[in-house]
Amino acid sequence: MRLRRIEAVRFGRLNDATLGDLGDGLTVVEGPNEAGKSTFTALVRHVLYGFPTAREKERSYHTAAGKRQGRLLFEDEGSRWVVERTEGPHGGPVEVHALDGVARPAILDEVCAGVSPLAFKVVFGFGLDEMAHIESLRGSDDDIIARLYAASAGLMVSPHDVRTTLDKEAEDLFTARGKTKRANVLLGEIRETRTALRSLEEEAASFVADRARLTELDESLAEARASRDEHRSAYSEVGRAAERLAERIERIEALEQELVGLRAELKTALEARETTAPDERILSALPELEALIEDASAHAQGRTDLRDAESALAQAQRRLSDAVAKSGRSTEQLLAIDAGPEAAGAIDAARNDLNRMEVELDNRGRELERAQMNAAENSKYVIAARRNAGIDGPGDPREMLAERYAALEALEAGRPAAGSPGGLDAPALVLLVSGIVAVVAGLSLTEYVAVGIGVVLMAAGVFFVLRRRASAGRVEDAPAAALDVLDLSVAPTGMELARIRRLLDACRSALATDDDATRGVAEATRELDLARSTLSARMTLWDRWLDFAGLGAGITPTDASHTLGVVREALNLKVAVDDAAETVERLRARLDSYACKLAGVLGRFTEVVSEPCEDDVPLLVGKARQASADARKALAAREDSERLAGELSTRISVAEQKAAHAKEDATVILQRWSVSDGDSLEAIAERERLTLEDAERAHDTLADERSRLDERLAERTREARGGELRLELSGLTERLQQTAEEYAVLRTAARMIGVTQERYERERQPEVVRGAQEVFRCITGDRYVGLTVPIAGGAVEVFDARAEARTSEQLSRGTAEQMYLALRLGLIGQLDDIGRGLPVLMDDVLVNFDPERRRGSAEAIARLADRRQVVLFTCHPETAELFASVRPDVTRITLDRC
Amino acid sequence: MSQPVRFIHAADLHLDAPFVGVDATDERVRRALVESTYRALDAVIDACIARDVDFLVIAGDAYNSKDKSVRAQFAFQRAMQRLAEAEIPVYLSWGNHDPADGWSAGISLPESVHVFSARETQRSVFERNGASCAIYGRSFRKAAETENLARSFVRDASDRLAVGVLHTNVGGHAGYDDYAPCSAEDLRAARMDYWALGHIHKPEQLFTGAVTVAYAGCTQGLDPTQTGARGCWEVTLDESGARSEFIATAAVIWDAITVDLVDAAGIEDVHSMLADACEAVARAADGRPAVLRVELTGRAEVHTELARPGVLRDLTDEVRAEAMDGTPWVWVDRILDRTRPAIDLDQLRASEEFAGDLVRMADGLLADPVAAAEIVAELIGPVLEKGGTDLAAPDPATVIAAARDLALDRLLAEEDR
Repeated sequence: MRLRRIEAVRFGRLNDATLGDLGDGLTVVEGPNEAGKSTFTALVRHVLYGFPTAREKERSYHTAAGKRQGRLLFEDEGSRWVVERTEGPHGGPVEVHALDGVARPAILDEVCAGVSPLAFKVVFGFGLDEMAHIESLRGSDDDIIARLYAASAGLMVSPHDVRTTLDKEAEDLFTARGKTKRANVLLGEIRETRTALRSLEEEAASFVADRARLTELDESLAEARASRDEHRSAYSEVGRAAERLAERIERIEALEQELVGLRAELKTALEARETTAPDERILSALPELEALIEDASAHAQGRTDLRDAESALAQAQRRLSDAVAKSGRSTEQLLAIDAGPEAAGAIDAARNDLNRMEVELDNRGRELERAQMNAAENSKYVIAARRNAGIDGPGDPREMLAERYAALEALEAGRPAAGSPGGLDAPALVLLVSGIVAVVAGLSLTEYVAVGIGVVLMAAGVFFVLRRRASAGRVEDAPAAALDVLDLSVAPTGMELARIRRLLDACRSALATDDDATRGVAEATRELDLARSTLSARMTLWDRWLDFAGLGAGITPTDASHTLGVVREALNLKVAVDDAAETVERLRARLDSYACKLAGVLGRFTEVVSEPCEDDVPLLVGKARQASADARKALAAREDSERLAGELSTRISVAEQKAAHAKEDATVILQRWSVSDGDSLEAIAERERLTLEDAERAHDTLADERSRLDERLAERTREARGGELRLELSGLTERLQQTAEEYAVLRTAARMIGVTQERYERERQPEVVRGAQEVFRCITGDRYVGLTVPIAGGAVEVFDARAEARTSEQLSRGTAEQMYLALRLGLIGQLDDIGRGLPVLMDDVLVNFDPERRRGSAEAIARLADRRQVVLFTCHPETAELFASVRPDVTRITLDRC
Repeated sequence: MSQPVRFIHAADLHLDAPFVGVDATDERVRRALVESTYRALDAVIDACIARDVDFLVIAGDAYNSKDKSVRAQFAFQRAMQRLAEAEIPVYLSWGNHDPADGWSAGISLPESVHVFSARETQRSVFERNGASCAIYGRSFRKAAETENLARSFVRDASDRLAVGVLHTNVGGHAGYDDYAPCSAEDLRAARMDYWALGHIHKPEQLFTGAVTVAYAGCTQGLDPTQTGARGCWEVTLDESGARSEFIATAAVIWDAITVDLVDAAGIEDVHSMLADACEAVARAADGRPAVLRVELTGRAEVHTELARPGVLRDLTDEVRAEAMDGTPWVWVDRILDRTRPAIDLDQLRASEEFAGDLVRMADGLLADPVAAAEIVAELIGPVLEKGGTDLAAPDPATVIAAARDLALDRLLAEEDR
């Protein structure tokens, strides 16, 4: 694959500039300064690897025309592809177009395989500025020689880099003096865990001793507990005694004070009893007096009752007077009337009889009126019936009626019988039948004319039939007399005869009814008269009884009953008056008795009226109450004084006994503890308290220690920390073991790479270096015959024929640049498959060479061009001519200044 | 034939023992592991009571005396007290971890516990309800007991049934200290009907028949290598011989699996395969939590990705968190990356390039264990020096191979552009 053309669309000062076509081998591009030679070189690298960003310290070749853009045209076995890159993120997007041939989207990766951007810049596309980089980058991460060397050794990465990485990774795991590396941390943790385990084991080792100590503590604790209990008991006893003594003393003092007070109170009580003696007269009359006082309310009630009785008496008297006055009789007369039940029964019987008879009389009167009204009504019917029957003239209607019946019967006798054969009209029947036939035939034949004729015939037939029937039944030979009687001018028809008979029948019926009404009136009149006479007789009897009973004639039974009621009321009122009078008398006597009695009792010890009236009683009662209350009060005061004195005497006696007992107890206590007073006993109690505190402290100290020890021992029997620590130690050891193995593998791998590398340098590096050495020897015309390039870094050395070594710093600039060029040519010569599609671009790298060495260099470059595409830019025509002379088939391109 | 005797044979309880090789950073796991030996003891006692056995024999290492764990000794005392209350006698011999001269918290065991002397082999006779059995036993006097104690066991002619209780390494069992060494012939010569042995943590019956010789194994696995069932034997013994039934008592199961990543295309595949493996372990754990160690193997494409810093750690964290969410939980203790790069080492070995040189150099070291050990010892020396006895020198060959693979991974990895 060969780069055939370089196109700068927009790049630095180049716009739509093209460089090509480049040759397969060596191409010399000749152009003056500012013709764009360096720009084209940079463009190739940027299209291959991306445009540099602003952060990269590199010339950017920006252009005002727009985004930077360039194209490279590659050719491989007759096919061509264009790789185009435009400025953008991440170096800018790349597009690959196949001009002819199959699509090859990964052509860029193929071209650049194994060559980093820096390697390209330093080895493949370089100028004078980059010449020394090939050595200055030695030993760094950008050791181009090492990388290309690795590639030439069949590796994808530099063994030096790998070894460095492995060593670094190993150092991340462990360093001899490190503390934060993984293995170092683990070692530290293991030490700590072991320390903890040892501590635990030491604790365990003391377990037996601790258990023995626990047993000792149990014994000591039992002794301490016994001692404490003993002292506690002693202290408790003396304490209780001291307390009891103090309490007794205090009690004695209190009792003595109490006795003084009680005796004073007793004296006061006795004096009070003497000064509150009551009046004996009052005391002797006190029961009677209090009884009377108790009766005072009854007496007051008696006075009220008396007034009520007097009022009732007056009221009864008034009502009796009213009753007598209302009867119109004197009291004696009134009270003399027998108002017993017999009189009342007679009055009631009379009242009932008279009432019944009066009702009977009224009924009979009303029956008569009804009979009379009926008779009058019937008379009206008779008149109408006679008029209808034609007998309303003067004379006996019954005779007139009989005459007319006779005439009627005569006429009826002459009237032909109904339904005789002479009743039918043949022509009318013919007409009628003909009409029917015509109608039927017309309807059957749909001859409506015949139907019409039939209808006319039928109508005529019907007319004549009806007329015949209307004239049928008439009396043919009626007697004139009969007609006269009946006021007829022509012989009547049957129907007319029937009507006349009905009228005559109605008249006859009316006349009969009229006779019945007349008889009813007469009967009612008789009944009324009988009732009236019966009533009159009963009235006479009533009057006689009234006179007998003293009630006076002429009054009704009702009045008589009323009078009897008045009599009975008067009698009752008389009894009430008598009773009320008796009550008044009785009450008055009781009141008088009470007043006298009260005055009598009071009179025994005070001045009162000897014969008190009723009005004096309240005053007397008041005095009695006052006297009673005073007496009672004096009596109560005396009793209180006596009771108080008694109580006080008792209390004094009890207090004296208590004081004696307390003194006795105190004496016993003092004797028990052989002391004379309470303070001495208190001192003994205080000494015992201090002793007890010491015993308790000793006990508590032992108990605490035992409790802690027991808990610790129990904890040890349960605690799983030992197992956890051993497991932790196992984990740490396991991790350390793994880390150590990992470390060993890393270190061994690094060592193996190093050993292999050393051996490879020793045995195989000459293949690389020999190429450079040969180039350098040719360039320098055998001035320098040897060249060493330590693969692990370090200065490159050259040797002259006398094996004298010189580093690049010891060479002249030209010679040093020749050495760098030789290194590049030697390296590239060994890169068989690395970057095969990449051209080697050299930008006036021979300017510092003398003519002899320039020719040597040109020959070396020409030899490289036999295997790789080489493009050499120069602004020196003589250089171009030099190459043309060295390689006549060189492709020459001339650039003009931009 | 008289009544048989039924007893439980347990050993190596190692109460409160230090776990080795496990890094339990999860609190649940830590708690479960710390409590596991106690729970296993409870399980043994529960089994004795539930099965109403005639007696219990413990063939040494009930606890680790040198740890001076008071809790362990008291827990053991309480357990013995439970059996005493259930009227189940215990025949106990001390082992190398709890020798007679070891540290004691000064506790006294119930009278129903017969502790065999360290000075001589003792005979104790169990008799109940017509069943009779002589139990012989001897304790370790000191931890490093090198005397052949089995030879001191001689069956009395009057014994109807005889059981020997001893903590011993029969036939120099590899991986265990050769304490109280003896041979199978020594055991046979004692003419016991049943040998209740302790010391080897894996339960096994060395031989059966006229005489049965069995290791009870530990009641709870103590490190990642002690995978599989752990517990004790219930033995029914009569004149016809012994019939044994294994009783699992471990509270936490240890398990180790290997996952071949040859088919894994990426980390996601590895994650999925590990999740499946954890589920399988949880199912097989019979309801008990498990601590799992995983070894990733195979020449896998994901080797390079796994070798990147932090990738395996992140993967372990994720798988661990998921497995801990299950019931029962599974603690992924460690995922060992034993995968190899997908590169063809033979091809590299034949090339003249740098990688070829490196492979050949590694081959040379692997072929020369002394040189490999020297270079590894030199490189890891500072760490080992600091770590002291806590650290074991890694296997040089493993380190060399891992270093070779790591170097190739890094050298041949594409450089990030």
